[in-house]
Amino acid sequence: MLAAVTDLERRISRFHQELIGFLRRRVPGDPEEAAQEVWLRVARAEPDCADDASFRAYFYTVARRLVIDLHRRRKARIELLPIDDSAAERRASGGQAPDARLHADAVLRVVQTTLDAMTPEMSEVFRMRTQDDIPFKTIAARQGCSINTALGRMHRATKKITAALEAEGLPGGSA
Amino acid sequence: MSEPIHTCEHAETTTLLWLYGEADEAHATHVAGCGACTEVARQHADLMSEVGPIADRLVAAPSAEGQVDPLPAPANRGWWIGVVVGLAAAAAVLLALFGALGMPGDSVTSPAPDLVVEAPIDDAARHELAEALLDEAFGADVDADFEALYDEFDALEADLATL
Repeated sequence: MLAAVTDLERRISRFHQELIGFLRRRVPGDPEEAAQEVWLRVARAEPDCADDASFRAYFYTVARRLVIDLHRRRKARIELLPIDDSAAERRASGGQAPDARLHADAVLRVVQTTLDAMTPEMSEVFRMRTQDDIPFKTIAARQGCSINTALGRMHRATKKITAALEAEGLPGGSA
Repeated sequence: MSEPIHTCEHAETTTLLWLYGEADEAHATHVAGCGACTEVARQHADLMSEVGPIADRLVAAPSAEGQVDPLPAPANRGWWIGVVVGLAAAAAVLLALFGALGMPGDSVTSPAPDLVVEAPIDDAARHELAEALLDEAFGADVDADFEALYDEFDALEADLATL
């Protein structure tokens, strides 16, 4: 037991900065907080990783799931802004630096165009899952299809939007 | 973007559910050890990191509002006939096309028997003409029809009782 804890600590120490770098470009808010959440989830799961390579694969898996979780919960999060002269400007720009805002606008344009070109069923699945955080089971019931069909539509929508972003030179966030 | 080879049955089902918090946490162990599922996780996480910040600004297309037609439930075999007829019609169009165009390197003849154009036609031109004929025969929404076929196949996989 003690050896397992020591091994986990060693691995976390080894990969912590790498994880911070991965999360920095992908999560809203403090990447350090997100990294702590990843390590907490990893510790709770107690994965049986024979070597550092398999441990690395595992924590990246957990990290990717956390990225999606954080963006899904984004709407419910209350963000505290410091009261200073830049607060008003930050609010006007949506809390983003100018170059980040330009990037977001470009992404919005491509995603909107791609969604509008999809079949209504496919774009609806994507919107319901990402904008409204509606579970796939509910989405399937609303669309009158099987849950596998709803999942298939979500995955194909994801691939189409990803391809469109890459075609515009906006891969962003890719490892 | 290179297409991953999805050899795992979970890649577009349980793994997707798990990614969005709708499956057992223990599924992470499978994803970490599966190349196909890891690739799916990577795609969705990377996209969410881009779309998440702008998701609230997306607007539904006016044509999509209230016009989502749910797919007919495949309650009996009848729908298969439609699929087979559609595919047969497409094959007939292609056969007619190649019959008119002949084999690669042959001359192209117009419908009017007294007008013969002695010129070779390459495969690229043949392909373009085939696509144009398909669009004309089945409408510009061929992609939507294929998407509907994908959905039907997914439903079949989920419920073999529909056969």
